[in-house]
Amino acid sequence: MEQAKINIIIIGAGEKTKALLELLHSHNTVRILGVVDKDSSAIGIKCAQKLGIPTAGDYREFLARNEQVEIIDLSESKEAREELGRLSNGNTKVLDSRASIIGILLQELNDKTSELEKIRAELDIQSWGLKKTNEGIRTLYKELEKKNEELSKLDQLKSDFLSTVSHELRTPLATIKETVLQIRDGLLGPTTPRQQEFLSMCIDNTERLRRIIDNLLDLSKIEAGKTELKRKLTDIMSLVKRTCMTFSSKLSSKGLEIKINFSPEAAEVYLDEDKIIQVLNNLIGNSVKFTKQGFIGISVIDKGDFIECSVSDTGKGIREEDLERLFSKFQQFGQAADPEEKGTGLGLAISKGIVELHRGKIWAESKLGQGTRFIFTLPKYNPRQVLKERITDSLRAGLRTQELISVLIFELSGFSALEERLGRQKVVSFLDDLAKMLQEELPSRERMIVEADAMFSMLKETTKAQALSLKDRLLSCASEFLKKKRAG
Amino acid sequence: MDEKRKILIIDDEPDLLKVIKNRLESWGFEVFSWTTGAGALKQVLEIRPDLIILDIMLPDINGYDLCYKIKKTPEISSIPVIVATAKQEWQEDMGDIGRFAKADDCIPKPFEPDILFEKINKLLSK
Repeated sequence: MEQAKINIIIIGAGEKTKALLELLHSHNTVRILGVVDKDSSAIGIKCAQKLGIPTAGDYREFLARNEQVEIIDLSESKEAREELGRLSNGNTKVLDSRASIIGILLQELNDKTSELEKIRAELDIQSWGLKKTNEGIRTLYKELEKKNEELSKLDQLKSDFLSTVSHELRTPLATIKETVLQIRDGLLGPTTPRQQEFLSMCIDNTERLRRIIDNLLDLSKIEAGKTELKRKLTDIMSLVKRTCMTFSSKLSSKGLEIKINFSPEAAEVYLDEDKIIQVLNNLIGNSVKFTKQGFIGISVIDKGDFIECSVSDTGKGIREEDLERLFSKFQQFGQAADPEEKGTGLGLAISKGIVELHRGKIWAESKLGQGTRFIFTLPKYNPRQVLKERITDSLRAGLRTQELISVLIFELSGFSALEERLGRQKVVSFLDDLAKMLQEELPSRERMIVEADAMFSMLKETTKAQALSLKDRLLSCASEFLKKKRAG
Repeated sequence: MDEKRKILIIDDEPDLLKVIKNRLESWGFEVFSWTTGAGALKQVLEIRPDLIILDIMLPDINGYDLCYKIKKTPEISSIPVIVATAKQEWQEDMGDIGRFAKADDCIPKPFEPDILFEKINKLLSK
């Protein structure tokens, strides 16, 4: 329903009128019937025309009989006031110019205030809602925290469980394997060739079971974040070459060729040798297993900040939709003919875990019928980066388990003087020797990190007193080393 | 010297003891066995074996502790000890604890007979 409007006529068309028109013309409680001025070029008339409001020289043009009209006199002329004074009757009301504007403005203010109040009420409701939501989130968060704690407890239980289980499984396995081996080897009397064949099958499968147990434990340790890398500076090229060598007899017996593509320069990577060999064995082993003819390609390419290793083959390839499942647990896509070679379905998942622990990436590319290529990257050695990683890892572990950590930093005084006197290379090799010697004194999982004129080492689960006594040991070891060097 | 060399195995698994004993005897050793940590030291002192194979997961004592005790007892400290373990982390253990316990060598379970044979011979020929 349309709101009842106040009809007004404005007399006079000066600046004031213009301002009032601008204020009121879109106001929904006011209808401006017209603006009256004898001067048709007055500023208020022009403004009215622009806004589509009727204009006239005489106010009587706008008076209709049945309408309530309010006349606002802004002309400030005595004549008009006198005439309008006489005019006032039931339907027409003449307002004092000031009073009327104030009245309208007050009305407007009232409207605005009530609108504001309405908005405020709405806001109140919204803020109450927000508060409630907030409380909800806080409760949820607390629940999540609790769940998280429970989960990490479960995780711990899981890894304890797996470690125990693996021991418990391996013990009877040892008895079974040794018993069957002795029967096959004839320690308990002669056996027929057919019996021997079956006993060998039994042994192969105990071996397979042992591999599965080992892999399961490996993987569960990686997943629980309990795998500690024993990293040291290693030339990745020679590591890959050495690993390739171990496959040479298998390759030649299958009639497979091996093609090698290495960057010419040696490249040092800070890695856990055993673990990376495990990855390489896995990838090369898979390729050899599933390739009947053709070649295995192995490449190690220096890409600047990182090293890219790849193992490719000319096997039957992997379907594209299988590629992403490749690194999940218990996914097997090929059937090995030889039971001795049967996989555990865990090798690639473990490889992925190991590569990621080294902050590298691993993926596979394949074309069905043409072969598969596995690629993994390892970041190149950067002492600063390594130290940073060690500190963050240790801090994180320390926070989680509330254990202690210490950082040992040795700074060598007079490094630049020595460097000038002996040449950089000599000083660096000298430092490397010293670091190697000090390394002997450290717990085996810790590493001395050498950079320029300083050596760093992280000591996990070490109290200050222990760190200090270690420091003394290291210092005496260093001074002995220096004595020897001087004598030599 | 025609006298048989003596090996003492300490392990809590009777079945495994039985088969290992059989294997070692087939290699020409005289084999003694013991299944607990308790009394093990006394056995070593009495038998005076030429070599000891010691499981580290005994029910009543940590094998490494027992190894350490053997190595701290002057009359028997020179007897070589091979610690055997079904724990997967045996290599890590050998690095830190094994060195500390002064064990001479370590072998994972299940055994590879060839490897065990090699290890025993290496230690006995010293």
